[in-house]
Amino acid sequence: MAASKEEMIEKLYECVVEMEDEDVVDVCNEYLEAGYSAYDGIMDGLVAGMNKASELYDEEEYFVTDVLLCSDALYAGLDVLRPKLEASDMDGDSKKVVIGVVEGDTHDIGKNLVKIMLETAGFEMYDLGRDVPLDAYVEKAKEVDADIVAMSTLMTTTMGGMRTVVEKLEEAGIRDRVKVMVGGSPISRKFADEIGAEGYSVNAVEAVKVAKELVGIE
Amino acid sequence: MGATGAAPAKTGAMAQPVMPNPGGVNWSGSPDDIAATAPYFGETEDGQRRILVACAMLEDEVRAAYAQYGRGMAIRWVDRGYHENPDTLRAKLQEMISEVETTGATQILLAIGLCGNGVVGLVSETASLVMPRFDDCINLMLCTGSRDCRGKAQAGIMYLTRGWAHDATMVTGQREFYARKYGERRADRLMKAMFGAYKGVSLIDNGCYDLDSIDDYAQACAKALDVGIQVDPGSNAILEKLLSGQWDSDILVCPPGRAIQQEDFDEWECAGCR
Repeated sequence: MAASKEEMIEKLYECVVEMEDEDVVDVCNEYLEAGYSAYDGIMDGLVAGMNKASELYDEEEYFVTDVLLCSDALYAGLDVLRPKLEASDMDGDSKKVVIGVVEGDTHDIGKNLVKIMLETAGFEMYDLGRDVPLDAYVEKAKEVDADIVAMSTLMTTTMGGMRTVVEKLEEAGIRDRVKVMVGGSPISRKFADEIGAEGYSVNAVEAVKVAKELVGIE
Repeated sequence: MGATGAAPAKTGAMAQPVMPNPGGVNWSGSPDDIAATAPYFGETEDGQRRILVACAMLEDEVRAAYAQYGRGMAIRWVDRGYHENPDTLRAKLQEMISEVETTGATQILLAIGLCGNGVVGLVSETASLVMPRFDDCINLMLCTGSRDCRGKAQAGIMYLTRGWAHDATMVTGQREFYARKYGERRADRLMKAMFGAYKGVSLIDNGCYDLDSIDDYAQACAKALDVGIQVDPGSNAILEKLLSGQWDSDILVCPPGRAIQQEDFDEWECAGCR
């Protein structure tokens, strides 16, 4: 007997939580063949699984490496289900985030976690990578009409670059259209306030709440 | 320089302590053998009583500077690895400062960097806190004279000294660990995610250790990261300034009662050189 939709969704969820980046592809195909909604599979299966992984990370049950592997399963599943989304599934109103590690720093693990978690929460992510030239944030924000510019660094030597980006957004005349959020081990709420960044979060899980608040999502 | 220059092992023969050893404080935390039975203060001509709190990551460098300028002052070692968590580092350092200030020391020298803001907020009510005005020990050791910009460390380079090579399994054992935990296929993917940003391994030649002594480890790191090895010139000039008391703008002197601020490390001489 074919598995019910609920059972299949549970399997998708488990594939992500259990880091099964290969099995998830088969499960997604099986799910689609059974005629179930791609949107439900993504939201109730894959995304719910990634949210669970985030929770486990927050509770220190999962390591960074576990979360990365969970995200591999998430993305592998999305590759199969996304092309099958109906036009009505796309609300066309995703908030856009330009994200990167500031120039002079290559520590990108935290940034990658934030990217995964924001993407899971429905944000449209533009990842500039690590050691990002400061002008690149502004250019990308203008190009995609970003709602948020998110910057991270692990080093005190490169924190000043964040202030420069805020100034450059101002100079480019788009400061009033874009919110800035910052994070990374040496960054504090106080520093964020000083440079005029609206958002600051201490970790990747909280970054989702901060980003949602900044753009007025429930 | 006015230092007496006694070798560390002989410090017991130097001047008597100004204060008795208070409450049997253990001055010889691992890996100390300096001043374990020695006078407690590096007493200066102007009557200052100095004690050194040093990160064990800098053990070779501190010992080298101490041999020249130690004056028999006691050293408290902070275990390596605290840099992983600035909050824990701060708590540990404050605990040590509070302990040390009970001795009557008037100057507490900190051989450590800003270290992810791990020193921000540190305060002594009775002694000056004196430390290199550097973001971290890598930038401190890469400095060959005086600080002419905020830092010389390049992005994406794994800098090594003998001290840093102590944490030897950090990179070289990691792939094996991932392979055991997650399987071979995922081990490579995780190595790329966790260490893929590194584009080189650098040995800092600061004259305080034999480069050959960490060659094997450097080779293993370079192999694990699939990058090349370079040698960058460095020096011990900054720690020598700290210990000798010849403090210029490279050294932060924070008076009693004032907490160390992040802004104390901002550049002011050369703001345009970045």
